[in-house]
Amino acid sequence: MKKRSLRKTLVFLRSMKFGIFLLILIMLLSMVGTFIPQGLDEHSYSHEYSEMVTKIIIGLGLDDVYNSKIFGVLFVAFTLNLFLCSTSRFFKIIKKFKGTSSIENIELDSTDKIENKIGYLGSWLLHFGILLVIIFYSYGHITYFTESVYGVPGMIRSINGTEYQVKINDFTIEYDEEGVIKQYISQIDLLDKSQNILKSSYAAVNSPMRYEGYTFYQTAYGWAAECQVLKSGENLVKDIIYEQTSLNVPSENIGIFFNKYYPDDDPMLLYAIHYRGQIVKMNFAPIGETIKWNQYEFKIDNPQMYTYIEVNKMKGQLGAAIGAFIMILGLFIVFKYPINKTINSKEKDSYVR
Amino acid sequence: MLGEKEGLIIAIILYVLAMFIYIMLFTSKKIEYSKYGSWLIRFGFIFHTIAILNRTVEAGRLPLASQYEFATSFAWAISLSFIVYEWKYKFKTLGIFVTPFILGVTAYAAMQSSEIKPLLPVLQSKWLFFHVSTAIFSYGSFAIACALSTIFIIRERLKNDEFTLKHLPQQEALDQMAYKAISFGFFMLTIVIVTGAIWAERAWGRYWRWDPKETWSFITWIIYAIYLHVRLNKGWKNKKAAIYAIAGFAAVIFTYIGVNTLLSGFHSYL
Ligand code: HEM
Repeated sequence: MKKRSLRKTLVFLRSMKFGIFLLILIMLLSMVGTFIPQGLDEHSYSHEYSEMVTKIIIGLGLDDVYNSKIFGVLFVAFTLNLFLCSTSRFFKIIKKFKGTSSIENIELDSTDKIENKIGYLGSWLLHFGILLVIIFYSYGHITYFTESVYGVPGMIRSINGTEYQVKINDFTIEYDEEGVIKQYISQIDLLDKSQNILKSSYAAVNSPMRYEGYTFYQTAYGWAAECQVLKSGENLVKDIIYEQTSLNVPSENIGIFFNKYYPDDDPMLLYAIHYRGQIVKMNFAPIGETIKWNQYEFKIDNPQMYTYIEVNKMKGQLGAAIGAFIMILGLFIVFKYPINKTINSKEKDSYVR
Repeated sequence: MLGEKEGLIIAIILYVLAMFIYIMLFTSKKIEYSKYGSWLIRFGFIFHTIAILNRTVEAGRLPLASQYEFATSFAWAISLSFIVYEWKYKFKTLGIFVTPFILGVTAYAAMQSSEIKPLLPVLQSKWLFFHVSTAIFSYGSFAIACALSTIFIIRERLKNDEFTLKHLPQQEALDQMAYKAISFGFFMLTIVIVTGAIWAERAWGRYWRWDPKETWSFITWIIYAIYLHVRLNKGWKNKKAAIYAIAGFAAVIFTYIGVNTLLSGFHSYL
């Protein structure tokens, strides 16, 4: 009795009905994720939606659907379904190829038989490929690593979470004849803990640098400049300042915010000085000019481009790529040698009769 | 010299004329008109081709990189498919169902900015061009399946109209053609998704990041996968399959236009 219900459960778990049911749920949840903005904080949701809706969104994890528990469970269930379905069909295919299968094949002529077998094999490959893609994608998704480094040429930056350091040798922007940006290229060295060069290469858009599973992308750039803060002529701090960031002197409770740089014929910058948490002065200034406020002096000079590089590691990419290839191959075979020929010819026969 | 804009305008005028001829064919029940409609579309296609060639030369690349370019190329591909299909299947009334699609897509193109913009570095990838050109065929096949399914439904309703019945394909043939179109569209969509993933990997470091456009192409993929399964397994054919194919096409439209206009994501510059 127990064995029978176990068997029944197994048959259900590997059924196409269950598979389609899960696919529909995955699809619906995916849709939800495109309509509700993802990854905001609770406050932003309560701003946009009613209290009830916000609670539902947070409670069900709809603020991060694709990493939510429900989504995970559905994916695992679907993977199981596809695995069981593929496994059981694998044995059926072997039987078919041995020619000891059901009666239906006997009724057909020989060409149909072979085409059908190839079709079944194609269909099996297709589903097996999908299974591989899902498994390898999930693995990569769960173990995904991402970090970023940025700086101006000459800097060495360590990558948090790894033992690597990146040395930025050069950053250039290529233009075409009409002055339109063609490419951003960072020339970088990858260093280990003791600053030995592991790899020296470049990272450009659509052409990342790769090392041991890590990929270095050229993702953004902006302006940076040297900034010095003085008090009554005495140096307080000197460092590189990036657009949209501040250089602060905590002991004095003062800082300068580098809003934007305008690289025209007369290069200008937009800045804001903040003192004790308040903005006390905001203005444009020619680059290199000393900005004064009370006994403080600020000097922003030597503007240069900085590069922003993202470092990612997504495992299982080769597996997913092989899965995708098998999937496409299987699809090609399935549509070249359609399986439902059997059903059709049988149906037609009975219809004619 | 005939430029891109002039070429396109002449093409549109010819397509509109063709559509009127096809409407007249049905109202006056004169099948001879199909010949004129067909020729008008062919001439329209020639001018359409001139327009696209012009743009290709001017931009120095295939015109597949903005909503406007994608839409004009897409309409061009539908027009080409029509010519091939009509010639192959001798399906004389096909034009009435295809011209609205061509004009609809061209009208959408006309609403977009046609300015030739230099390619952002991230769009300069051969994978992108594989991705977009396969998308045209995938969307095109689903559009054809939708049109054939519509004909199926119309034909069923017009049981007593002999003229229409005579000049529309048999129900069974329509059903089979729609199925073939969906199979091909599904195969192409799979390639679209895979090439898109490869491009995303090279550009952003993740081959799949659930941005709205990606997610909606995944949803479309699932919708048609379900179609293929229920057809094979539950024997959903004819009317049920036709209604499903028409509804499924709404997802294609949403993936193509809705995502760009209503949702935001990384693909929004496309
Ligand atoms: C994303 C998921 C899936 C996709 C894209 C997919 C795709 C396909 C395609 C394209 C076909 C061929 C249809 C035709 O020839 O017209 C097919 C057939 C089939 N699929 Fe799936 N499938 C998926 C999931 C599943 C699952 C979960 C199951 C089982 C639980 C399943 C079971 C079958 C079966 C039994 C056939 C019939 C052909 C045969 O027996 O070999 N599929 N599938």
